[in-house]
Amino acid sequence: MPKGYLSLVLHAHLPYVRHPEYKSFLEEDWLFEAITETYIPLIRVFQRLTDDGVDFRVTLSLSPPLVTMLQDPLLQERYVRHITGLVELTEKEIDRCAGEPRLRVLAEMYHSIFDECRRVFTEEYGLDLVRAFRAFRDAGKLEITTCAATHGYLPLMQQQPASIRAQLRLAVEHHRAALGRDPAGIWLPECGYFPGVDTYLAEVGIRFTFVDSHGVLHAVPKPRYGTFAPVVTPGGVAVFARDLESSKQVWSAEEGYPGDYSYRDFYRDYAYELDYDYVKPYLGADGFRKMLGLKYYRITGKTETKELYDPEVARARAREHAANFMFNREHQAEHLESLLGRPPIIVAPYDAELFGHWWFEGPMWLEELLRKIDEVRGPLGTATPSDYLENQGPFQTARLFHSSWGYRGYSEVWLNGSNDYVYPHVHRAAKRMTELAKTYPDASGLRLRALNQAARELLLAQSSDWAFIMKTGMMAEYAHKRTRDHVSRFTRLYEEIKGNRVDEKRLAEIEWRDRIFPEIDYRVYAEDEPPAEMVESARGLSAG
Amino acid sequence: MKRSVLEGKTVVELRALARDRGATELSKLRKAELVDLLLAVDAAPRGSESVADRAAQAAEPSRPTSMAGAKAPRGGASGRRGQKPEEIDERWEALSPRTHRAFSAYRTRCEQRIKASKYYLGVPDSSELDEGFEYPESYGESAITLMVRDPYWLFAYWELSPHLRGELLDRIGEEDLARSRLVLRVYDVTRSSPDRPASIHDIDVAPGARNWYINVMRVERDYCVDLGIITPDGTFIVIARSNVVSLPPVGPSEVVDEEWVTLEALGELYARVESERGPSSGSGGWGSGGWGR
Repeated sequence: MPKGYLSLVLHAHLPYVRHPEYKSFLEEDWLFEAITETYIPLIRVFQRLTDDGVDFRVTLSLSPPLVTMLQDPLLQERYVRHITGLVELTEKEIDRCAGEPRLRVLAEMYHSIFDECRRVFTEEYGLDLVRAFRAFRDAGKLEITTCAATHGYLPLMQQQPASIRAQLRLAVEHHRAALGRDPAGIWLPECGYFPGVDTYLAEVGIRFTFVDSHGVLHAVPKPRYGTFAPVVTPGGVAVFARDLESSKQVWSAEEGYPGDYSYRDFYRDYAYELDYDYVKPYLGADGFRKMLGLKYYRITGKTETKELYDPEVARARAREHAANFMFNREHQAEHLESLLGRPPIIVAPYDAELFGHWWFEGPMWLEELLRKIDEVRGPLGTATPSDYLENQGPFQTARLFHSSWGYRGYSEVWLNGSNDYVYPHVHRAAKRMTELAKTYPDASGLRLRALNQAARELLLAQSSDWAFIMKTGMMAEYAHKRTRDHVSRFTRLYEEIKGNRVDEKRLAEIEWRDRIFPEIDYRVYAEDEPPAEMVESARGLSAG
Repeated sequence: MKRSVLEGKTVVELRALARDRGATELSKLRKAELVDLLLAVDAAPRGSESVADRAAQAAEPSRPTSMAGAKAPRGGASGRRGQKPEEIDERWEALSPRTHRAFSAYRTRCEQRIKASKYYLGVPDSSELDEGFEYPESYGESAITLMVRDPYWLFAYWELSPHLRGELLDRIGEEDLARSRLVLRVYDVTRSSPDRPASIHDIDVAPGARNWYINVMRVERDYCVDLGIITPDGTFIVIARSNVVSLPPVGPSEVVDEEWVTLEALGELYARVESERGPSSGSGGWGSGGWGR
């Protein structure tokens, strides 16, 4: 019997980016890179472990926009084109590097990786990677949770209950349709928790969610088991908190594993060093050099000069790091179990895209870790939140307050000088959506289409990614543009619906562009009261 | 807090004060650095991460920056804005990098950078495509909305109805209106209401401002804000009232159940103790996996 459980949570999300109006679009690369460097490598890890009979339990959160994009035929086709191009480029590279053995080894490595991606994508899963995740879930290896409909940051939507309800209800419905089951858990976008969100979660049947460490540590009363057991909120939802130690070992670019000097450097792409005409066919239509994924260098150190990557050295290092992580978690589990008198759960959530994309060796590390844990069968086991809830307990009840896992732990990332201008407009659009839903409770025909599309535009404007990107400053123009486009489309539809003059041609065009949630029902926006239990608990809060 | 007062405290006391303000990794700081840190925190609004950001960026290879440049405000005219938490205070610039590092909550800037990497493509943005839409200047009514940014900062945004000026002119006349001040009246409504607030304080806002970052006076309280004007004779006329917000706590709770044994060995970071609520709370059934609500 393990003394404690490691609960790895991989949160996979990308904002909905799809531009059928162009033959290719730069920001669609976010998806293509994630498929090549994260999702397929993770699938391969799970596949190898399953084939080898390794027992493991990992939680995967799949956001609705990501699932939608992975199942979209246009994007699937574009990915095939993208990866085929890379296979071709690496073939050329192998030839070009014939006289340079160290570069040639790397070109061959990438050729093999890209070729494998193409095969897995087209042949093994018939272009739909969601099938893979579903299969691992059915095989008892993964627990899959959902995430808010368009990854809206809920704490900054508190004044529009209908918006929160829509983000959550659509997420559950979408999950049911795409994955064949109701989700037991949800990953709150950015772990953005506010008092009362639990009653919205309970309303759609969610049983558990996650917050950052301080979200539970600052709860009232003080949690007896710290972050090592979930607490149950007044709304009836179990909340799991991130473990600090395991978090630091991976998340820190400088002190954590990913910063090791022998690992691949994320920023140094050989596409910038190759002859322009040579790479031009693989760049976008605008011809700007961009990352292609040909990263031949390792981090080397705090220096501008980088040395060539050595895959064997890196692989050995990943194995060491996996062993080190397991060793630390074993000690943690043993120590805590004797202290607490019950098996602790050590919750280790990460952005899925950290593995393979930022940290190239991440999937290797993960595979090694899961193999070792199963091989040793020692004090450490793996478990998902549902496993823990079913087998442990009882659990302490506590009230949680606002928190997030963003920089500094609250909402400043999404509310600061770079992005605060959006809120008056997005909040206003949300209020107007409620007004429309209440004014036209039984729409049909063209008006129904317009109302549903207005709801889609609102949802897309609410993506927390835009505010985040505005804050980081990279690709910010695109984020500003997306927010403006969706608010603009919403506003136009609002005015046309109210004026009873919906422009069908224009509507059809934006339906073609912004096609998420085909089954959306705008009427959810008419329900703009917070859940009844929340009114009670809010009163309880201010009464002390 | 005065420097002389801080210097009179012990290192242990200074560390405790710094921890209350969210600092971590204090063990390497010398007393003088702790004093500097506390003075900077009290003087500078929290959130001056731009200085620390720059220190970290010095170690990174240069990356293409977005083409935002100097552009007109996007959300329509906002006039002069209030003090932003991220505005740089001179004191922050004088702090050592080690002190900067101490003043970060659990989530590090490194994590932020890693999270941002999934949007990074190594190329300047695609050119801006305009659908010809301009955000409206106003939506036609006087209203103010209050939001929580973190335990120390609120954010308020508002707009004034086009009829407002006419109404105020009718009420107090042109001359008085010209000499009135636009004000945010912040009420501490913890366990109470704006009619009987625990405290009130007024913030003068610049004419033409449409939003403001409000540094709270006390943490862990509930707040509400009136937007209004103060006339030359001191009368406060309300234009709009905001929603109520609650600030999150800044540290672990003091609420403890004495019946249970303390778990001091967990360390100061983790809860010392707490009891589970009894079966009457309706949480029975957790152990068996039931979900009785």
